[in-house]
Amino acid sequence: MIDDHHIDPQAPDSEEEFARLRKLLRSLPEVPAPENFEQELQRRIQEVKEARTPWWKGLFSGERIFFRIPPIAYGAAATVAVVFIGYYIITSRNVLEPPPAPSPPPTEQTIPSPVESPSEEGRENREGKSSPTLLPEKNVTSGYEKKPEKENNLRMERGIAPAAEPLTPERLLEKTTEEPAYLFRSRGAYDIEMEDSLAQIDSLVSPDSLQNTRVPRQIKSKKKLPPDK
Amino acid sequence: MGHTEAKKGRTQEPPEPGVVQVRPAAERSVNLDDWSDEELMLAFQDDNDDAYLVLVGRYKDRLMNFVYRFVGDMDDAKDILQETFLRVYIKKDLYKTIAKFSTWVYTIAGNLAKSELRRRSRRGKISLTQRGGKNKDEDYQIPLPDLGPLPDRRTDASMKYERVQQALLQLPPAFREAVIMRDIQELAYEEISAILDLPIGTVKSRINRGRNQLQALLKDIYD
Repeated sequence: MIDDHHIDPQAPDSEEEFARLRKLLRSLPEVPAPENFEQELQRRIQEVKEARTPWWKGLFSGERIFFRIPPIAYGAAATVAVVFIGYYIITSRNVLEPPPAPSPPPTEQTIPSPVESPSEEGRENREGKSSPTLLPEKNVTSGYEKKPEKENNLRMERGIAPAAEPLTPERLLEKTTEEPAYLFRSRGAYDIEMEDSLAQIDSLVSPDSLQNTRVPRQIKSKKKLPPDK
Repeated sequence: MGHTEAKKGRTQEPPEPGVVQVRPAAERSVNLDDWSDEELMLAFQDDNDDAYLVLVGRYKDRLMNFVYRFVGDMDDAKDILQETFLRVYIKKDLYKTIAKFSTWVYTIAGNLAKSELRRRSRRGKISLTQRGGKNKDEDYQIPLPDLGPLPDRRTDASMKYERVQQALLQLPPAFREAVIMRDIQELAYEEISAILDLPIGTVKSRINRGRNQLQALLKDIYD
């Protein structure tokens, strides 16, 4: 280390004292730079440029594509790529979610009965209902819902067979291709037909004849003849 | 372009003490040779390579002389000079107009020269004037064949210059650098202070001590 502290920094300049020395130093010949200095420097600069340029940047250099790509184009391309990838990720997440529940298959009510009963009105009169449906409307809309046992019990009390399986288009196709036409009707529909037939018979029979037929029964029930002794 | 306009706007502000003044671009002539170093450097920062070449042309001989007197070897001096201008090219954006370009480029060259001296001392490479070391296995600098005139035909002047160069190389690097800048390059004390990042008093004291030692080494030439 150079110790400069023991010398007064405010000491006067000693240039006059060393005038001869200074003259000698100034008389030293100039050492010029080599003649090919600029060419050598350019070559080294080019080497450094090539060494520092990444390989992927060379792909888009003007030497290969014959025009210079503005720097903003790289930024714009990167932004578009990010937006596209982000959109793809978001949409692919939606695809992975469980699909919505399928629409309920058509029930037996929606399918028209192949045999139109001629005594629809009579059946309605007999049952005292205006709705031709077998099931309450709320149960009809949901094909996937399990039918309550109460409903089947009620149908059994009425003498109606339990509700048939909901008839989907696939099931309908199976039935039409494999089973005969008379089997096409479900048990429920068959029972309805039978009931309608009974209602038609009731309508044909006069009320008087019905009373006549009941009188002996009433007599029988009310008046019991004592056994012969 | 905004960067350039900002620079232009900065140059139109009132000058502050110690700040290098740069003319606006409109006031500059077409010929780059008329531009100041700092104006050329600003143009070079705007990717004007012609400005860079003008700067190289202005400083290559001055810096070559400085580096050669400092390291004492022509090949090393060439390499250091190349490296100096290469760094100017690569680090151009680090230059600020708060300092003179000459100060900046001398700082780079001086640091590279000192690094070369340190590397040389680590390798054990000794200059011609320092030969004769104790260890014979040291990597001595092999003297190149002298293609110049024979010693008996050499002029007194050339021998004198060689003696002065050898005496310079015997000075401590800190003194040597200061003496070369002041007495050979004829730089101002303020600029030497800025280049070496030392107070002016320290610079003066180093120059004085260097001169004293050099005068003692060259006593026979004076007498």
